[in-house]
Amino acid sequence: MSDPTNLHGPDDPAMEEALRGALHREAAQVRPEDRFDQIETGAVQSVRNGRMFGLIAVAAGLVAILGISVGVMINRAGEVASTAQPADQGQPSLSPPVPSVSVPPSSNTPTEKETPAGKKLEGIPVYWIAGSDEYKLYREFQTVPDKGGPATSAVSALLTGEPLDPDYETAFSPEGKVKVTKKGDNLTVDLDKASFGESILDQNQAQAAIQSIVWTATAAAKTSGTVTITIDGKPGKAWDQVSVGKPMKRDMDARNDIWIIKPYEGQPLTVGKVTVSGESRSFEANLVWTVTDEQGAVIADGVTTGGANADFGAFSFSTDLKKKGTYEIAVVSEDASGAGQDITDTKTVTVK
Amino acid sequence: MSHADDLLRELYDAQWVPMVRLAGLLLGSNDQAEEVTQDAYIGIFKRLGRFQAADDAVGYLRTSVVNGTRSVLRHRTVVRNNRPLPEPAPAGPEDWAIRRDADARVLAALRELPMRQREVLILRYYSDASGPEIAEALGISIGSVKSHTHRGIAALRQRLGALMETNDETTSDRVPREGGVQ
Repeated sequence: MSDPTNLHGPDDPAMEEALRGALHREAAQVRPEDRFDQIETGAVQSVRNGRMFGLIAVAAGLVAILGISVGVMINRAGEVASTAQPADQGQPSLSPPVPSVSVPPSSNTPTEKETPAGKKLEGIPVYWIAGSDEYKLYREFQTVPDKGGPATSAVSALLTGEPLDPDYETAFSPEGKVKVTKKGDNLTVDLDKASFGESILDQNQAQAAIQSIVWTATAAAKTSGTVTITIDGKPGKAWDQVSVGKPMKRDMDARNDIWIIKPYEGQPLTVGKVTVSGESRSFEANLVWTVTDEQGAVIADGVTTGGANADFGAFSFSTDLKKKGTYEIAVVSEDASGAGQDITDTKTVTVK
Repeated sequence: MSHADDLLRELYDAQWVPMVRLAGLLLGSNDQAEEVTQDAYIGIFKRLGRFQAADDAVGYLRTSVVNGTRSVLRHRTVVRNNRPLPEPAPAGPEDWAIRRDADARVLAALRELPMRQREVLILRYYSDASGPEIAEALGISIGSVKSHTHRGIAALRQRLGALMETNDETTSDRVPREGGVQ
């Protein structure tokens, strides 16, 4: 095991030893109980559930094939465009399509209408955050409980929902409450204090989380207007890091430079050709893709192109999945400078 | 017994206790540490087949534990202002009581740091994880690991400066480094 102090560590051995000692003494007080039996039982159960999930997902996929779901995409210029999304790009719970999208009228009428309890809204765009050094936004379409209109429901999903892709996350707490109101093209998103979870790491993540609200609310409400976030009805400082209370627009640099849109995370596929598509922007449009099997072996790879440099554009490639199994598809924009990090998005699919 | 079953048993024997303790430190309490770690083991089982040996799966398990603790913390609402004060020093021999008091202050200061700094410091100084191992567990670059370590230690020094000056002799009672995370 390497010596932690070898890594140009802080030149403060007394502080380091004090911390090391405190952590070890604190940890030594914990005497975990034996849980191997529960783990073994849970592991077997999770494998069974995974198989059952696959069957349900196949059934849902068959239902979804009957229709086309339509998502909303707001492009770099800020205008609203309707983006036809094949039904099989949605999530496993995706069911019949949402109605077609049109640019909303710019009248001064509140549009978040109350709907019957227990109703669900389908094809709702939700922007999660994920990242390593830098947090970015990733979009999924979800079926969510109706909390009083698409925008309120979509933002509520950021609090109480879970992303399909385990790489994605949210910084908001399920203890919170949200209400979205619309005036003309502009939205006000009011969150209570409990909405702001404790897991915010730094200002970069806080800013990405605030943008996840802006992108989610505008997409669900189908508007290119502004979003004013308030905390218990007033301006404030989210996680003590980001001031809110003034109208905000989408930050176009907030989204990740690569989105794999199809297939979706966990999508069941059949043996044969699979087409992977999405949106990206990268240096000279270059992208590298790989397909990795369960043993970690790369079974296929190649190059493709998406949008070049500052402009997002579509990418698409096909590959043959000849055997049943679980595969990870990765699309990577390799760092050309050598000074930064590669940018990537991945999806795990199951071939049955 | 399948290969995955064998690896699960081996991974449990080697890592259950240190991983629960790691989860407890990351959570700042032990009440959900076993649940988080248990879930991490269950979650990794489906992927164990891809690993040759249990040691190869330690990094993946550690990442799962870190992610599990983050999920728990996300479900806790902000209670920073209501956090309990560090436990008072227990009765006992004077030097032991002083050390417990110093530990409590160090841990309280650690809990005030931003989460990522806290995670980096705990992985480094409790798990004795290397820079690349920490980078893998947290999904950050090695450069970020270094900078978070620097900032974290500097922030602790700033908060505990006076304490460190008066307790350098006490804290120099060094803890022998464990063999690391096996």
